[in-house]
Amino acid sequence: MKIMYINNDGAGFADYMEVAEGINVAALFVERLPYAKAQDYLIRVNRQEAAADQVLQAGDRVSFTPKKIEGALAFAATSI
Amino acid sequence: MDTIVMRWLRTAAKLYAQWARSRPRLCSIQLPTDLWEEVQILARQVAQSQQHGWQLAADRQSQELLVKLESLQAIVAPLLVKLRAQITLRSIAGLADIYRDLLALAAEFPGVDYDLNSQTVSVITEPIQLAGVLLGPFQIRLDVSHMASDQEYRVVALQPNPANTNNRVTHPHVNDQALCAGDGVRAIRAALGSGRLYDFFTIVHQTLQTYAPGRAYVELENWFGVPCHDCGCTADENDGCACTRCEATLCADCGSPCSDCGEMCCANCSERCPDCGQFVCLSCRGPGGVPMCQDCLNHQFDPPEENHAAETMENFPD
Repeated sequence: MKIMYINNDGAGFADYMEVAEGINVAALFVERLPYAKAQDYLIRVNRQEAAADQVLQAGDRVSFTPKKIEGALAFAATSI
Repeated sequence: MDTIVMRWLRTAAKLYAQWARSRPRLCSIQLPTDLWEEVQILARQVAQSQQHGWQLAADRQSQELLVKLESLQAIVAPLLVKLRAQITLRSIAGLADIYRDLLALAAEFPGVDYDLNSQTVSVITEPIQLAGVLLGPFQIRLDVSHMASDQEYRVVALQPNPANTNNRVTHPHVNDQALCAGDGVRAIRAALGSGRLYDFFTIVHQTLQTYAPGRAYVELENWFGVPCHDCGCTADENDGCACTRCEATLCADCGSPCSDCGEMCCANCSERCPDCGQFVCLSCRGPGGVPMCQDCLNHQFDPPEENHAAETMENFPD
């Protein structure tokens, strides 16, 4: 079945993709981000919080957004 | 229909119209039409040769046709990738997506608003606290007329608690209402490029909730000012300086220039000359570490002029 998969880590990714029927949120996370920890991400299905065992439906919008996104400074601040 | 739902529907419609106007056009595709005509001509020649039984000619023309088709494939393949990427980006966010984004933002954040006059969508965060420093709530304002650019959003402190040393820094990574998103820059650009409002605001929000030590306009440990090394008061970055020897922070009233080299030094890196009272840095001390300025040191080893004259007279009696 086809879902909208969005990964807001790194360069960002958003596209439709085919996934297995009956796959749940946790399994999709492990499949797409095998080296990441789920607790480090905001996981949303159709823009709402989702349980790990929530089974995905065709057309669902799934997004993974890192909880920690480090900002920077555009240029060196004058400091003493 | 519910008033709130109607409001968000109207807002989504306006946003969608604005975004559709501002997003970049599809790049024109240059098709290899000349090469395609050559392929068609060769294909007809191959067919005619085979029809007349001219096998050698058919073989040669088939070889040429193969080369032409391979060239055609090499030109068309990257065009497919380019066009597919453009279509994917443009098809991500439709009117329904924008409407659902607005509803989700309204449910997740304390405040969401759309200002028709300024064409901005804004979201208010909850008060943000990092490393014990309360920074207050922020308003993330997105100019939807420039959604294709990641520079057209501002982060405004609503109850500012700026850094003591720089009042334009209201957050370690926000200077003059501009967030330096660091690791989030590309994801923000991708979200705005495809009109994913919910993702954009979420990414910016998560960036505001993250402190990256060593990459801040003002580090949180210095948020309330850097203490002067000599007197302990809060040093202002515009008026103070740093010890040239050990880089300790000094306020405008502390620190002394070395009377020999002129470098500004803290109390630890300088001493007073016992003769004249001027400060001498530890590098300019006299031989053996004598804390004496050069002028006084020279004077100490120069014999007085009258003694010298008397000795001369004694050596040359009348």
